Amino acid sequence: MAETQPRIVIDAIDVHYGAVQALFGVSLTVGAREVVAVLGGNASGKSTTIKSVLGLVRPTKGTITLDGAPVNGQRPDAIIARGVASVPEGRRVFPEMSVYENLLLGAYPRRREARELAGDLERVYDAFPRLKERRAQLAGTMSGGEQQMLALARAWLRKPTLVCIDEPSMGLSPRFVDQVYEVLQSWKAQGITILLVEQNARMALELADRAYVLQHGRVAVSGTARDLASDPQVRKAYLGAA
Amino acid sequence: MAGEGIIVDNVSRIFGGLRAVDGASLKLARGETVAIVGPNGAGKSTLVQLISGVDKADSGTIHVDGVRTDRLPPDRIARLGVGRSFQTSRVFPALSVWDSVLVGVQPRLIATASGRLLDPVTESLGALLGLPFWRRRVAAQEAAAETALKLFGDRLWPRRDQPALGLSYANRRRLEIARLLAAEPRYLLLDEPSAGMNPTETEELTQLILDLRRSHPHMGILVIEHKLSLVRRIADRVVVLNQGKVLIEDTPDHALDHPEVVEAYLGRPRAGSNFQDAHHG
Amino acid sequence: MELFLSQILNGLAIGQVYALIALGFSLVFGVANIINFAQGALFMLGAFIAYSAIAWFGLPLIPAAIVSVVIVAILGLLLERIALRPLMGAPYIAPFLSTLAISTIIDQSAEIIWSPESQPFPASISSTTFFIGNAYITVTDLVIFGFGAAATIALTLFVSYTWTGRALRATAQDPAAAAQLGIRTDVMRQIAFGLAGALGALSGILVALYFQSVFPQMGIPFGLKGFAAALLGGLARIPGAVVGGLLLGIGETLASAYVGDSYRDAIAFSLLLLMLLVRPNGLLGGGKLNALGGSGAAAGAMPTTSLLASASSQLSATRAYYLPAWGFLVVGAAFALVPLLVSSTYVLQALIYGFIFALLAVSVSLVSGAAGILSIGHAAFFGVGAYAVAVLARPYGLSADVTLLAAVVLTALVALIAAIPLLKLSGHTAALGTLAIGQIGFLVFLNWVSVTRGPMGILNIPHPVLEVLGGLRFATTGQKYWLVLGLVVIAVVIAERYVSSPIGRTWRAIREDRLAAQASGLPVRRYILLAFAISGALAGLAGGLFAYVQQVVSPESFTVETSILILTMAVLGGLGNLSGAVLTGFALAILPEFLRGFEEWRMIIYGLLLLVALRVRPQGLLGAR
Repeated sequence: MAETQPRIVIDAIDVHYGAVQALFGVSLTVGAREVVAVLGGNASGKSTTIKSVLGLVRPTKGTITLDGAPVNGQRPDAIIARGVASVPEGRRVFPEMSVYENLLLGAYPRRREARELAGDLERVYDAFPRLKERRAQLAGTMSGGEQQMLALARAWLRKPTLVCIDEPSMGLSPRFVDQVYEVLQSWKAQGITILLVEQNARMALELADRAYVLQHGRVAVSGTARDLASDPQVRKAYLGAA
Repeated sequence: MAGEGIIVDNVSRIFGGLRAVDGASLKLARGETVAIVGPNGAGKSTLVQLISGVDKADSGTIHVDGVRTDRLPPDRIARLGVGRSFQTSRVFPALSVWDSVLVGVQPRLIATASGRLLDPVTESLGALLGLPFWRRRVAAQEAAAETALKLFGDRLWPRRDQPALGLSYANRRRLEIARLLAAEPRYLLLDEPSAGMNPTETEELTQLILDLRRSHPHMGILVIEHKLSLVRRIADRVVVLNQGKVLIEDTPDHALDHPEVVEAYLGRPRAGSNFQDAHHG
Repeated sequence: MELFLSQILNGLAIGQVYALIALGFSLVFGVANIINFAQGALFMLGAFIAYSAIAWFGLPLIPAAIVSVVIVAILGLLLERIALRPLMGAPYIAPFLSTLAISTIIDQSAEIIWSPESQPFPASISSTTFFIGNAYITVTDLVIFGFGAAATIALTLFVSYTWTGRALRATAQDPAAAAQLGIRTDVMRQIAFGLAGALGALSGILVALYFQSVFPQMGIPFGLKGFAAALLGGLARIPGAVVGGLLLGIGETLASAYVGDSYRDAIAFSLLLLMLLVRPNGLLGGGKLNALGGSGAAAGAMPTTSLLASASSQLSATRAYYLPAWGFLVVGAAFALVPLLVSSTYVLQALIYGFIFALLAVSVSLVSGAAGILSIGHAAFFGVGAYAVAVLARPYGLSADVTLLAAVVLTALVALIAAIPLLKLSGHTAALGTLAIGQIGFLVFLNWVSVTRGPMGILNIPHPVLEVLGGLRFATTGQKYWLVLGLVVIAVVIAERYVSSPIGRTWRAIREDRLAAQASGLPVRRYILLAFAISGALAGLAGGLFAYVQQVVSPESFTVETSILILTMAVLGGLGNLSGAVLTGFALAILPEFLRGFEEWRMIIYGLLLLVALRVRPQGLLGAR
């Protein structure tokens, strides 16, 4: 798929939370301009995978490289500085700051580019008229779906070449889920590389080029999105059908 | 609203702009096992927080065996016979396994026949002087703790002098359940008991719950569980929550294979996907 | 009415100063999630450095102030670097105790450098008075209010409209999310400490101008008031801190005008306790948005509310060594032989103080270690016991049976009532609540002259006579030695029986995880109140014995320094480990006898011991239990 150097290479990582092992030798690659989905039920280890890439948890074994250079042991801010943006699980907007300030903070690594920033902000407002309307409102008072849009827009203002997205459809109504995926589809069209963690397999597989399905901290199935969409294994990994 | 069982009626809980639980109703009778399932963020754990009094509902009522509990503090609700586990099991890290289980029986140690608590002076004198009435109570307390620990075979009993923080994750979950069972609750609420367990440990947990159903035929069990294969084996009924609302309530196989539930978990395919590329120009 | 208006104007000025101290607390609490006990020490240093720059180097006020603000800001950075950063991953109790130790060291060093006396501040602003209608205000008030307000506005603009300011606020609201946006949260932490230092220094200088004097002990009361203001405003909010400061300033100025100036501080601290009781989240502080934890299940550390635990490893590898209850009887019996072998009253006297402080350390260890509520206010309970004996024995001439029993019961009652505002609190906030209790106690001893005879104290307390033992009189030091030893041993045995009983287990469960304890059906409030009552009874007995041994009771024995000393003893012995408390309480009380001539270094040595212990053995000498 990726003829050039892959953006992310995860090579056989183990992750422990204290006494609990969350990942067992998970390997995964994300090529340039590729959209890769990590799927799985709750507590399957998919969020842990993305947290390892962002430096939020440290693998006890194995390596992770970003654009050919290792990220092991780097702090999240150093990884973000390498052109990465994150849309965290549960959105994590700053509840007591306005929508406008939340957006600005997304561009924190670009804070010296004042001029371009103003233009980019306008573009975000054009794409998300709802956020423009509410730019003075505190983010914590918005609905879950609006917060998710804010988190996406905030990440876009980073002008990333690679975005890590953790469960963007969690707790959202179908209408908002559709909106989220419309945004992601447009990012894909812009050539942004995406590593997406998602429980909503059907939506994710429509968007992704390739996917990995995790179960109990191991990669259970992987392949192209097209193949996986019709693979009964996927459904089994989720619903544990008898 | 008298009558046996836990009755949750039209309960809502709102965080900021988020309706975590949105007019949910359900009933748990003694002797039955009910599973609550649903995707992440569906409001399952919040519901357990509300029933156990750890969090308070914004509207709606909850009754336990005819007593209205939605305004009672958690310790009162626990003493009504509602034992609950936590999603991240909470086990008093520095206490030994033995002491942790004894803590679970402490409310019964100081309970009087009329259901109130001994006054602190009597409790102090009993404890300091080792009076006969106190020693009898302590012996009963320790017997209950021993029985509860031994339910888990050789997983906990041989480790009873170790501090809880040294236990494996699965053992911590077992310890928490042992602590609850030692108090002989009428209702047991388990919040993701199998989280972090491997398939073998999950199987053991399934067996344990099945055994509990046999050994405690009058105990009502409410379990939040993500591993749906486990749910299919233990539950009499399944309540599917989505977006804080009860989506469906039925037998496990009916509920879990219902198209709306499959959709809630897997997402729904999009009709006529005409992708827009308009965003961000 | 004119007086009322004048007091309001006056209160606004001093309130603006409290707001600045409060902002220091709020910034650090928001970003680093700890309460910086040393904020008061930074405040005091700010005043003294400006004082020295003017008095020693002849600088004018403004340059002196700038020098002071810069130096103290750097000290704030150093504080983070030296006292806090190495403690990442240490028990939750460690950062707070570390700032407490630093604060003790700074305060005592200031007494050595600048002498413990109050000094006139060598700069002043014109004392011209303006009248607004019939209300008056001085230029000093105006200048202080103006500078305070300007600093507040500058800070507000900084955090609102600069990149660094926004990043600071983002870090305070959600550090993990901030890091994922590329913000260096460790740098934000340092900036918060530097700013807190600068604000502390500025407020110190303004207070020096306001009261026209500086004294090394000014740090703790003003620090506590700043904390009260911050808490009033919701702890982590900038507008809240300002409103809290202004309200506190107006409140206490009115109180001092209408109730009496000596009650100014007592009223401020009572207000703090009242706040803790009715609105622990502050007047403006709503609950923070309660995010939905969807993921939590398999993630992260073990949940615990224990200050003895840490994020990484808990006390896992450490063992606690302790005597059973009867062991104290054996040790006591051995010590009972000492007067037969040693006749030096000097040695016996030192040992008696050792016993009394051992009992005090046990008292703190029980409530802070077993029940998990850090107490920096135990000197108040110690004092209540001492005054109870002094008053009943001296003017009323009652026998020691009655006076000591009264001391025990009264102090238990006082401790029980004092604990009520603390019930909803945990961690560092509860600790500051106990500090307020300690300060109120001290101020009552000092100012309730009709009962306590104020700063003079109660002199010539008669020798104890026990009616139960047929009117036995303990007149010589040797006789008092046996009395004290006997009662201390009995008290420690009872305390140990409590800690080893199901009640002690319940305390530890509440300490380890208050929520799980409550969800297990335990009446948490009842057990915390019980712990305070028993701890109070022990401290009351220690106070009563102290009164008989000293034969004089005066407020200076019951200062915050004493409270910090007792807490240090309990921590060094191993919190919750009564054997450890007895050992370190005894040892540290007789230590000064070996340091004759270095009395002023005593608190510095204790502070250093505490700092070192937090680094190398946070679980204490014999291990926390």
